[in-house]
Amino acid sequence: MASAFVHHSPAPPCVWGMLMGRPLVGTPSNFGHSGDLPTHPELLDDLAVRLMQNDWSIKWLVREIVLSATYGQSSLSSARGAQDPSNVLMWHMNRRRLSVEQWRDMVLFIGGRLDRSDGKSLELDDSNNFRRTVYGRISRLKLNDLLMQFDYPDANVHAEKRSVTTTPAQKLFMLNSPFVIGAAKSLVARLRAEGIEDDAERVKRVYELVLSRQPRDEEVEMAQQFLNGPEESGMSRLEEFAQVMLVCSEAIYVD
Amino acid sequence: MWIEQPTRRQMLQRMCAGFGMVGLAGMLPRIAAASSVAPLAHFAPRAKRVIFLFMNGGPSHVDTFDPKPGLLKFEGKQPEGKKTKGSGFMPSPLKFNRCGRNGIEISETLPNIGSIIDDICVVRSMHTDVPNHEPALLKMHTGNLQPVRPSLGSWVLYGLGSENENLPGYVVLRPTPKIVVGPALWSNSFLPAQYQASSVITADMAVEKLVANIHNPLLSRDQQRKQLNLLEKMNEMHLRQRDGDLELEGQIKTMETAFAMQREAMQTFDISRESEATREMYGNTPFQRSCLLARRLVEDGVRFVTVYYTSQDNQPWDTHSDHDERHKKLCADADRATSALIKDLKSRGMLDETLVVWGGEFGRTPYAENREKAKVGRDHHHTGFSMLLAGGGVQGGIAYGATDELGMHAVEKPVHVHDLHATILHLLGLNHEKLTYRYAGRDFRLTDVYGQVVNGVIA
Repeated sequence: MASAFVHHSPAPPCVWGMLMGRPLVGTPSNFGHSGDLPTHPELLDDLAVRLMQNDWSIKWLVREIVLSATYGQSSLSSARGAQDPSNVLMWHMNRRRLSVEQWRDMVLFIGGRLDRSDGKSLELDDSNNFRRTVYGRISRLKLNDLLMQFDYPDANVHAEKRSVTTTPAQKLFMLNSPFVIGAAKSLVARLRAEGIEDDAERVKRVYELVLSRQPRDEEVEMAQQFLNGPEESGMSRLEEFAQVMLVCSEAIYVD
Repeated sequence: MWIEQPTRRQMLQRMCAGFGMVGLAGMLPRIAAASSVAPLAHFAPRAKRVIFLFMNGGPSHVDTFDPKPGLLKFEGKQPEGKKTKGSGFMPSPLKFNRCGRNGIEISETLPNIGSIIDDICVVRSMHTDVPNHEPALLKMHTGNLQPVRPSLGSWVLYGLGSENENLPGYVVLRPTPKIVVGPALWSNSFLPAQYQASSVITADMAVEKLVANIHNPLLSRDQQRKQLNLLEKMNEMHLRQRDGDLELEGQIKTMETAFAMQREAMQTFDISRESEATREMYGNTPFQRSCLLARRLVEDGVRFVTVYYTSQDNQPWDTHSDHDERHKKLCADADRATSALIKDLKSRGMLDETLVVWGGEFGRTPYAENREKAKVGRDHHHTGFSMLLAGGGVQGGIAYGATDELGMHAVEKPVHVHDLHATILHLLGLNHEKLTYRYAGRDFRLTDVYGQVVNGVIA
């Protein structure tokens, strides 16, 4: 009985995959003969049945998953998992990299520039576009370069999941693009607007804003050392530091 | 479901992640599907890389590589079974010269190609399915009449991976943004995103116009190095706290690659570094400059480069009117760059391992299209046309196959687009029947269920 629901509802494995970093069925668009079997069939059945009982509410489904003990696990793994290095059984949380949409929104938000309005889609290349990335224009004829660089699938074909690559072209964007430089400058402008003058305080505030935590002493020291270096033209040391924070591993991964 | 972890060494080797390399996450068992693992070459390759010179619009075979004196006899007669409003069969006004050791006849508009014909195989028996640009373009690029399927270049990258981690594996060069069909011609479609093409508009050859974000507008290299040192220290700390997670290590390495690449790509994409003599040999039109850039790219390890012959006219070779005059100009442009490229590759010892393909989506009718008498044109023609293959294990100095007396249909050793694709993959060491990707529940191939390797063109 339940398997009939499963066949008709790819929602649970997809939503699960988005939140957990791995779908319940390896081929979320293919529940047929040639697709993978679910890793947790009973869980899938349970979610499918209760999704129906809750009027197919995706909001319910998301809440159900994010309130689970599984979702609440740490992603720091240990030797305990030697038998399941791929974490098929979800014995720890998967470390998840932010999608380009999530990362861009975060960067705009931290710089105090995120525009939460909706409406007609806008070009992501437009330097005045501070709206959430999900409102970026998707052209089937010519996919936006930023989205393409960060693994957005071809908009002409169905894609059950996004491949995740790490390429130098992505890093060039992080290093040199007007968007990232602008983001670093706006973060510094925000510090100025908040009236924070002391270097150590500025470092703490940047950690707070970008990584949602306080820096350790050695981190403050390292940053201060950098800030004390000779100023050169183009960007201030503080702006360079802000850029580093926005593109560092801790900022682009969720643990 | 239990997939063995790749070893640390395998992982790092494959992960240091060029533009076109398998990204780390794609390799991690938690994300990887078995189907996304690129197969290695199936047998010893003859060619390592491909340059496809694409003549958008479809060049006329009877005015280039397929002389048809028979047209004189039938001049003005209407082709059988065709509804045309034109003035009937139309012989080429061009003289054909015997070139090379086998005396292959080449049009007088292509003297430079004629002079190196012993390095080139002329395929005179090409045919495709439809005489319309869009489906024929898609067929030639993806093996399928309708969008969207992975392109030949994406399949090649999927099969062989990238040769240089600091450069994209598949680059598309086109003088103008405007191009019929558009990016579906070089789509990775359902193949993973790392097999996508990097499309470069070559109207302005300044490197920073060709490659996005290739240098920081505000920071000097030294300054940026210091900034990256801080980033690296922070990322190393982060990594240590996470037991040396390979994906995180990949982030650090890739950042370093990007920093190094700024210099490398600046050089690779900069054709002004070529000698005056070399630049002169190629010529200075948009297509000619793009051909020179193509050589620089493959020299530095780009696997697949397509150079499109486009202009503001969109598809220049689509000579529906004023055919004779336009054709001559197009030939002069393409002849110089094509021959320069082949000669240049040869003099650098690269031609043996570089396959050069030349041609359009179809040919043009041996008969006239309805237009004012003085400015008469030729229409689309798909049942017989010519293409060139050079280098990369192809036998030079031969003409392969033939069309009938009037250039209407490929009749002798016909080569379908699928056969061409099968042959290109074969030269690269890939079996077109085994190069598959599982999508939507079934295995896909570039050649679908068709394609025969054309052994007669292989040296």
